[in-house]
Amino acid sequence: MKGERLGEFEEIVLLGLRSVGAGGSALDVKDSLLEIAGRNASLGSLYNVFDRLERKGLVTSRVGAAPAGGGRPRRCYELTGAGTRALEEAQDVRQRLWARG
Amino acid sequence: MSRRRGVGDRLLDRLLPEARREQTRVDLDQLFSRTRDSRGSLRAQAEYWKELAAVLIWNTAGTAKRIPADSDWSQKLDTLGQDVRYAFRSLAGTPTFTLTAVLVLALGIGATSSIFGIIDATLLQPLPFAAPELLVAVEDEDADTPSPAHYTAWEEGTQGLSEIAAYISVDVNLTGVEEPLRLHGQRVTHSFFPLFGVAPLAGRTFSANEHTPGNSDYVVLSHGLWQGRFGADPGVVGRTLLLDGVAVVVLGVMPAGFAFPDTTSQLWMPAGFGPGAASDNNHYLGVVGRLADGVSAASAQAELDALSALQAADTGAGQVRQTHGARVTPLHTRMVGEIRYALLLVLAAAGLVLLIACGNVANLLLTRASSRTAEIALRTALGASKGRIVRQLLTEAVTLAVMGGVAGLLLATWGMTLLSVLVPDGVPVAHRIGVDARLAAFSMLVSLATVALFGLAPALSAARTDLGALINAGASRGTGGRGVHRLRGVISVAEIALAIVLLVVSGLTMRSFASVISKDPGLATEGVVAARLALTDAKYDAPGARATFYEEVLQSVRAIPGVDDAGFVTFTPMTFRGGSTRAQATDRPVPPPEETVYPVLRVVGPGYYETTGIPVRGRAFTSVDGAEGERVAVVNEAMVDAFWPGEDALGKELAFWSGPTWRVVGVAGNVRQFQLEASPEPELTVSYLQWEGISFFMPRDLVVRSELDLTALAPTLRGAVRAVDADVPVSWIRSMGAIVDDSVAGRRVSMLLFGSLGATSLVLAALGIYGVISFSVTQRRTEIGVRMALGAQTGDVLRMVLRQGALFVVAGIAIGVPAAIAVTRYAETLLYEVSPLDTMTFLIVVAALGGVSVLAVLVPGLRASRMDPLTSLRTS
Repeated sequence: MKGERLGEFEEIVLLGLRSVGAGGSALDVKDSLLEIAGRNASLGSLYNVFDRLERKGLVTSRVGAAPAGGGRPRRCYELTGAGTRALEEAQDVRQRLWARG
Repeated sequence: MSRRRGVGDRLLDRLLPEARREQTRVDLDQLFSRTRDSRGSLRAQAEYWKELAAVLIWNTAGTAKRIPADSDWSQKLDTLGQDVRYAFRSLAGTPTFTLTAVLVLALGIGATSSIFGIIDATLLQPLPFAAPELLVAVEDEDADTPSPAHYTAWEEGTQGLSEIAAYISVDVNLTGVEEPLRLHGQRVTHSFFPLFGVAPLAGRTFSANEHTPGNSDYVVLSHGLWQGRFGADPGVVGRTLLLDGVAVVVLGVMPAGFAFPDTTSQLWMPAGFGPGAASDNNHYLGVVGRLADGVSAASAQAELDALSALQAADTGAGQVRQTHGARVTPLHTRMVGEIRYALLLVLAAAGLVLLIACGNVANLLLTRASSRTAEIALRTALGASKGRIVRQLLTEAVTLAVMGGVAGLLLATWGMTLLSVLVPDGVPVAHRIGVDARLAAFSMLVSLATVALFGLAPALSAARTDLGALINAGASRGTGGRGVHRLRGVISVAEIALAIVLLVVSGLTMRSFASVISKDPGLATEGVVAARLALTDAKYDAPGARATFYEEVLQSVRAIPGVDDAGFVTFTPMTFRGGSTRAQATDRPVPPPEETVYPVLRVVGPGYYETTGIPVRGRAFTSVDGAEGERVAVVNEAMVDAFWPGEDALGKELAFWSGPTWRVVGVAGNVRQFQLEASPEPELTVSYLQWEGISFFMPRDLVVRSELDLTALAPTLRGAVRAVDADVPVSWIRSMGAIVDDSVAGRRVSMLLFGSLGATSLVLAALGIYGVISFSVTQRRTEIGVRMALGAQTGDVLRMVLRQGALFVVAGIAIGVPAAIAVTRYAETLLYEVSPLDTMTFLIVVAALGGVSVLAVLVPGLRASRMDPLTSLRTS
């Protein structure tokens, strides 16, 4: 376990969630990872990571409203303040490391 | 789509925590419909299942992963991971071995698990009622149904039972709907529902108020009826239904899973006992009770006994029957009692198949371990400890076990569907039969135990390999040593012996089945169709009303083109034993009570004997035998034997309890009234045109002789009945052949079951001996090469191999036959007119097993005899 630090996949998932915006579902994040990062993550692995991120307090989830076109309500995720900070911190670390090289 | 939904959803429900289910379902459904729109339905299916599998796997992995990072555990897990990866690689490298082992395990585990599943649901799980261990079935001492008089005495006096309730099976017609419907249900006392402690899903159940005369027209629906007939409409409570022409109000709906006394009950109505309640003549109640705190079934029985005796003393003499005491049995025992023994026998048989499968897997593992001696020696030389090597081999075995267990579980889901036919409707637990966590755990446990037990010996023996000896021998492949070889032989012999036991039992069940179906049912099975029409008492109460209905229906049915004849009968033979009556030959003294024979009574009419093809000497009924004519009866041969042994019954006279005497005008051939395997009982028939007794005996079954097939006949039959009375439902239209077939359904299932277990054991035993001989031939390649180089002929080599195989087979038979002799008597209850020591069956089994074994040995034998001595010497 990586304590409060972000793992690589965790970071990518958080970034994916950030790109789809608040209220994105696991399926939306899956799509965005495929589109932006070319990475085909399975729903199972995403649920697993979201569970972990939620325990760390980096995201929150709730069951959203039913979609306008009909259908059943989906579970939506949202970055918390701590989540946003963790992402910024990770970006910071990377930029500093790149700057050294 | 619907299939994906069904199976996928069930997997989700079973394997995911509730919090995760809905999310997964919504996401997967969205994924599915999106992929289908863009890339087609096939692709969508693939995508759906792939993602579903990933969710399930991650769900397990997610829980397993939360182990502290730098603990001892983590290190152990690492090594374990290594071992598992290595095991997978090495198993994947030998796909034939892996596939065979998994298949063999799956067969054994599938058979055992499916039977365990049935046993778990019926014998081990508690009944789905509140505090089910306190529920008891109350019967008369001789296992008969109690009379209302008894019930009333018990209800008023009991202290040992905190609650007691009675029920009476009832069939009603639901009319006032598009297609009139025949429903099966129970009339119950108001204590019935509180006794089970199951709350209704909607509305309420009966209170004492709904049992008062003039205020009892209420009904509670079963979940199945509510869903199937009323579209699960919550508004059904309070609605009025027409049952048997009477308006009744729906009070409530029971939840799914509540079924009593059987799974076929669709509704419950209040029961009140009429003026006949005081009489002890009619015994027709089902009675259940709940034991009071601290009271045992035995002391409750003693109390009810005393109450019955008091009640008998009250009513005094003139009783028709001797009053019996009570019998109190735990409800669960009472309900599963009859199938318990059969299920345990099947489980034992499946256990034997599992043992044989274990033997095979052990043999396969031994063979594999032997052929890997060189590899193991190399790893030892490179510093692997013995413990590590044993663990590696065991990991392989466990990996195999898990694969075999999963495959076995899949087989079990299929096998249980087949097996659930064995569970009678009367067991209210039948609906719970299915694969669940318990069954999965059972399969995995059996699988692991199997392989741990049978994988350990090969692993230890491989690790014991003597490095020096191996290097000295300069062999690239080990021989496995004499000890291992002997072990393999012993396993093979044991397999043959076990297979003999199973084959003998399955052979005996097959011969029993053959002997049952060879029985003559006594009536025509071809071209005869039966249907059930039920007339309500309310509408057809007037004298002659029923007879008029029968005559009108017969007229319109006989007018259908292709119909030869038709008739009516109380119950079609083999659908229900029917009621019996006391009848007395007027030219004989009245026999003492214990010798009184109660013949089966059926009320029939003109055309019945002609339609069913039952031969009648003398004459059958005609329309001349009307209300005004002389009372006439037709009796069967069994009744002649019981009433007038050695005499001609034609012209004799009979009397019932009271009323006129009846003259025997015909003697009919014997018909098996209840089951093909039950001997014909004395039977007496009279015409409905002359019957004035209780309406229970009036015909409800129509029999039709016709060359039309069932599908063509059914709608015209319905039409013909509707033309006479549109409110009479026509149900249960079946051919006589199907009815006779149904009466042997249980026996057919048990034959198929034991037959397939026997066949499996035969295949496994043959595989076992084939494997052993074949491996031994490979091992002895050098020896055979030398022999052939020194002048041995192909025949000599073949004989040598066959002799080795024959030794195993003969030893197996020598052990198996006495074992079978010792075992088959436990299966005697399954047999019919076949001795458990039936010589023919034993001979056939020994011959079949010998033949198959010779084939199994012949293949490697021929291969050995065709070896080119040069090649075989060179490769070694």
